[in-house]
Amino acid sequence: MSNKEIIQVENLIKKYEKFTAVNSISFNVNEGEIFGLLGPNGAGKTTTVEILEGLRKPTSGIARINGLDVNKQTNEVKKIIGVQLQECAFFDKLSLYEIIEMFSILYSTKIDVDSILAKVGLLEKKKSYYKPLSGGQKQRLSIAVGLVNNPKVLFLDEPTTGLDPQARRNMWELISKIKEDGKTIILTTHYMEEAEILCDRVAIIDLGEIVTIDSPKNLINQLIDSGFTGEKNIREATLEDVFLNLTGKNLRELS
Amino acid sequence: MKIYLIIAKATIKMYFRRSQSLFWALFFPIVMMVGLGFSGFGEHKEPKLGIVDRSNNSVSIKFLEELNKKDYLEIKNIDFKDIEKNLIEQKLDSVLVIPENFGEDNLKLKIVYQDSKENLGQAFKDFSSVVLRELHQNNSENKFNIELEKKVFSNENQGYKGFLVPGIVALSIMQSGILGVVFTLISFKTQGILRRLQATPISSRHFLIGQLMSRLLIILIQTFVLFFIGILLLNIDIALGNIFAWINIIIFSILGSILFLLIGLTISGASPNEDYAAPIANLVTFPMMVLSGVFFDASVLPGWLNSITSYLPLTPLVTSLRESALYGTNTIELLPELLIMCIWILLAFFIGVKTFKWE
Repeated sequence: MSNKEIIQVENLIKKYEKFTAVNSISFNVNEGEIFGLLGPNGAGKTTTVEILEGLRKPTSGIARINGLDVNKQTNEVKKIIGVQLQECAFFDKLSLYEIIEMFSILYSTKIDVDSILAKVGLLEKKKSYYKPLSGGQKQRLSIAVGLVNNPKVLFLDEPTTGLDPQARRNMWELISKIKEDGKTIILTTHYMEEAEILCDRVAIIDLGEIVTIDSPKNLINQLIDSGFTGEKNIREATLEDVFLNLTGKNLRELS
Repeated sequence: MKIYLIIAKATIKMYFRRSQSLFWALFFPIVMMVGLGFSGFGEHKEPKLGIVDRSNNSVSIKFLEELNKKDYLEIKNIDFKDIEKNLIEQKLDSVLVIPENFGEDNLKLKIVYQDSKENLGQAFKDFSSVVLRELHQNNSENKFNIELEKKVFSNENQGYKGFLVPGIVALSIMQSGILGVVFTLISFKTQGILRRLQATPISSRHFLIGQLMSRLLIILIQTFVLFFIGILLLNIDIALGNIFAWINIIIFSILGSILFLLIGLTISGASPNEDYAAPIANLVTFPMMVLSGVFFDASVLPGWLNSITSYLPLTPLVTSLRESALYGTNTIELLPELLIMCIWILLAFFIGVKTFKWE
C-alpha cells in the first residue's frame, strides 16, 4: 500500500442553527486503504461523508480529494468519486441494466454495464426491476452505481445496516474485492466486527469530534496495554458463528 | 443534450410501465366522457325559448304575457342579431320571432330552431299556435300563420358531448400535470433518489428539466388521444376541420401542460413528503375541477363567483380549448386567456424556484 494521501481534511466544521454536527475534524486517508468512520448515531459520520461527497457545504475548513477542493471544485470531485448513500433507493420500473446505463450517461462515461453488474453479482438480475430486489441486492446495486465512473475513491455509508449475516459477509467480500482493484474506500459503520475485519485504519467520532485514529489492531493493543481487562468472557464461538454454522454462508435471496 | 434524452427516455419508460398511469391518463377520462356524454347530463330539462319582439305593441305584449304564464317554459328576450349565437352555443333551444307589423290582422310568427332540435321547434310551434288561438278566438283562420325556420350549423349534433369533451381534455391536462409530477417527484424525494442524482456531476436541475420535457410530451399525446376518442366514440366534430383551430388547440395544450407541470413542481418542491403534498395537490385541483367550467357552463355560477373563477388557471384552458374545438375561434380572440395563462406560468415558475427543496 502506498502512503500517498488521497484525502486531506483540515479543521472541518459544520454548524446548523443550534448545534454543531462536525466540530473541527482533521484526518488524512491514504490511497488504496479502507478508512473507517466509526461512531454512535448522530456522531457526525454521515455529515462528514456528505461534505466530502459535495452534498453539503462545510461552515468552515478544507477538504481535498486527489488535490481538488471539495467545496470549490465540487463538480470535478464528483467525477472521481463513487457514492453509496444511506437510505437511497433507485428508480422503480427501470431494469437494473437501464439504471446503470442511465447513471453512466449522467457521469458521461461509456461502460460495460454487464461487467459492472457481474462484479457485484447481479448479472442474472439485469432485467429485473429495483423493487423486488432483496436488501443485500439493493445495496450491491447501489455500489454498482457508485462504480460506473471508475472512481478513485468510493464512499460507502453503512452498506451492511439491516442485512442478514450471510448478506453482510457477502458484502465484506465485495468490498475487499473493490479494494483489490486499487480503489480507496471510506466506510461508515456501526459494526465494530466489520471495521476490524475490513478497515486498514479507523477514526472514531463522537459528538462531532475525532476521538482517535489508528489501525484497529493498534487501537486494541493500546487498550490492552493500558491494563484493560474487559468482560473476560472469551468464548471459542459467538452466537453469530452458531447461526452461520447452522444456516450456512450462502446468500439467501429470492430469485 | 444526451443527458436530457436519457432522462426523458427513462421517464417515459417508467411512465408506460406503470399500469396506473394509463388508467388515470386515458381510461378514466374516457369513461367520464362517454358516461356523461351519453347520459344527457347537462341537457336542460325545461325547454328554453328566446323571444325577439320587433313589434312591441299591445297585441304582442299580451301574447307574451300569456306565454310567460306557462312555468314549464324558460323564456328569455334577446336581440335579433343574437339568434344564431344563442342557438349555436345551445343557450336556447328555439327563438320565437314576432315580426314588425304583428297585430289583430296579421297574426304571423316565425320560430327559428336548430336542426338537431326539430321536435322542440315543432312543439313550440304547436304551443304558440294554441296560445294565439285562445287569445284571438274570433279571428278568421287565414290570419294565423306560424312559420318554422330550420338553421343548420356546422357543429350540429354536438350538444353537451361537444361541450364536455374539451372540458375533460383540459381537466386531464391539469390532473396529469399536477398529480403526475407531484407523486413521482415526492417519491423520488422521499426515497433519496433526488439526493443520489445530486451526487453525480450533472445538476439535479437537468434532471427536473428532462422530467418536465418528457411529461410535456406525454400530456400532449394524452390530449390528442382523448380528442380523437371523443371524435370516434362520441361522434363530435372538433375544430370543424379548421387547421388554425388545431394550431390553437396545440398552443393552448402546451401552455396548459407547462402551467400545470410547474404548479406540480412547485407543490412537490415545497413539500417534504406525501403527507403535505397530497392534500395540497387536492386542495389546488378540486375547486378548479368543480368551478372552472369543465362539466357545466361557469355562467350558471353566481356572478361574483364566476368573476373569481374565470381567473383560476384551469378556466382559461377550458375556455380556449372549448372555443377552438367548437367554434374554431382564432388566437386573437383568445388573447385574454393566453395572457392569464402566461401570468400563471410566470407566477408558478418564480414561486417554484424560490421554494424548491431537494430533501
